[in-house]
Amino acid sequence: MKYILKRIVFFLITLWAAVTINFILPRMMPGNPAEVMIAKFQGRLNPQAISALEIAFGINTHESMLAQYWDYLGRMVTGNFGISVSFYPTTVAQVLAQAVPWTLGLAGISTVIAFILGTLLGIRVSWKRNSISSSFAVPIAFFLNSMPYFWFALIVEYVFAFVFGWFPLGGAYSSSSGLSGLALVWSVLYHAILPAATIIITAMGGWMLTMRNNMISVLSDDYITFAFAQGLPEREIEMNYAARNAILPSFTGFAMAIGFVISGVLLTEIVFSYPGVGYLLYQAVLNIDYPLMQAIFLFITIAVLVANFIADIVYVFLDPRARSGGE
Amino acid sequence: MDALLKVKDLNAGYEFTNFKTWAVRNVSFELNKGEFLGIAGESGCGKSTLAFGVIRLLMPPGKIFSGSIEFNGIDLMKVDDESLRKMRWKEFSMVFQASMNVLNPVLKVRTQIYNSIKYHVNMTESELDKRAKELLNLVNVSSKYLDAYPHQLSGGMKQRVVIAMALALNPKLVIMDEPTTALDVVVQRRILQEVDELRKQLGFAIIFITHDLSLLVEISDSLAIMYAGQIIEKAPSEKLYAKPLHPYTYGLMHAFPPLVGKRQKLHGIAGRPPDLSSDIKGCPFYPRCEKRINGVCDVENPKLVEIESEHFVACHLYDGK
Repeated sequence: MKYILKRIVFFLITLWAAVTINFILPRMMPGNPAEVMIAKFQGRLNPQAISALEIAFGINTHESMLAQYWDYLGRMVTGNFGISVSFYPTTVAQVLAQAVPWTLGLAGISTVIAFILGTLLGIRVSWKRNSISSSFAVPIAFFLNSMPYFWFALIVEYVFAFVFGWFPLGGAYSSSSGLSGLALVWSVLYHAILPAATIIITAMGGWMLTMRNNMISVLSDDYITFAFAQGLPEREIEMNYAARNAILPSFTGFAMAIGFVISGVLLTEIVFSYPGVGYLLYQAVLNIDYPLMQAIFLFITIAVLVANFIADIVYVFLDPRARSGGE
Repeated sequence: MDALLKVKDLNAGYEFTNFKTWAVRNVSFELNKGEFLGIAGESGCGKSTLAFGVIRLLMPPGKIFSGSIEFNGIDLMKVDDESLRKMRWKEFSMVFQASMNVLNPVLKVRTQIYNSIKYHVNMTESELDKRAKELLNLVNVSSKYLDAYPHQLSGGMKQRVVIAMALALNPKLVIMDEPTTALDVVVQRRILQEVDELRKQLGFAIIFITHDLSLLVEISDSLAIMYAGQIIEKAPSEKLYAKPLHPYTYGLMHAFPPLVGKRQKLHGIAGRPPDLSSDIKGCPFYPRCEKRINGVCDVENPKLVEIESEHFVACHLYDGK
């Protein structure tokens, strides 16, 4: 329990640091970004948007830095990120709230599936290391893993959505109104298949190779031979002795990947015009929507931190050696 | 006497793509029920390969090239994998050289003891619990360590837990491959004595492998000395100790200082053992032997023959006898 408490404290400190950096950065930039922006829109900006920018970036205020910082912290806690410039007059919080579920649903689930499939394959391939299917699986995994993602996604989109027309070209669900219930669920799934497939196929190979390498090093450990000497069934040795130990390093990587899901699907969402956080960030950059960008960056940071925190906690259950502080 | 294990002309070693090592060469021996056989030799003489070989536990690239192994009337070379798996632990178990690392780091001691039992015999949870406590008790480890993880135990405790596991199903044979090497001398001796008491109590046979001959002479019934993959001398312990026939055995005996008596100069054995990946012509000990007979020893490899009753030796010095 002491360990968990330590993780919580560490989590809070990192979070505070991230939030603070998010406050300091725009104020340290030469030539305030907000001033540049206001100049660029030349009066087309609504006074409310301007005042939002002023608060967010600390211009035209006579408050001290400390007061601004205090104010800023308060707004972060209450989720008040100001008003989006590109989606005016919607607030940043609302814009973000609409995008997050799509990204979590698409990329989150795809990443989990890729991890599970890749890891299981990695276990199999290393256990049956000398079989023919294993000798094919490894080079294929290398190929899929080293393929540039955007290139693969564009080809898949072109072939299956554009040429064959089997899947929709983009979006998260059919825009024809009146969809509800099962029809809506189906529409969402149907739109998610192609982008999810590209994520799973490209990420799976990496997980497979990682797990395979972990397994091969674990298989030469003494406790594996000892398990064989005890006449344990192969399945038991494969899963509870080999894979159970081999997954530990993979698991840390998985937690990191989950954290980076939000930012990592930028390309997927651009290629498939999927209305998630990545696509939103792309829009925000195109429209120089600083309040939105700042909120997205903060959100990504929090996602990475939360994922790591959960990973740290789960790791304790997976590896008993971590419980005593890991000596 | 009843033979439990009959090994005949066993050849085993390691096969790599570009070369092959014969770590065990034409080894034959018999082990009686309840017997304590010590096998001693320098590092790299094939002791461990022999230990793993006789219970068909050599993992690739390790391999048995030829020979026969008969365990309790069953030809081990012919049984299929599943029957062999069922025989393991129940008929013969093994304590490893690196016992510090043979316990699965993510499973509790309890789970590991249960696993070694439950895949061979049907037991209820409470029977398993009772047996596990009994076993730890046998090796003088408090049963509170059942719910500990391996990293929470000391080296000596891990060793005892592994020995307890090896006795879990009352096997007929326990192979111990340098089980105490990583422990200090005092703990080594104590564990060895405990093992010997358990053997007398439970009646299993032991093949004990070590490079430390002094550890064995007092405890084992018989001793086999290995050199370059072969058994070069085998006899009841006291006979071998009183009268080592092979020059190599003699050398090994005099490599340890006596605890009592006058100071004396120790003699090592000059040179090093031959490379086991090549053919050896003549006696493998020839280049290092002080009593070699040129023209005989470098031409023909001596066979292991019974010179006196129960005293086998492979040396041309005794050709005429």
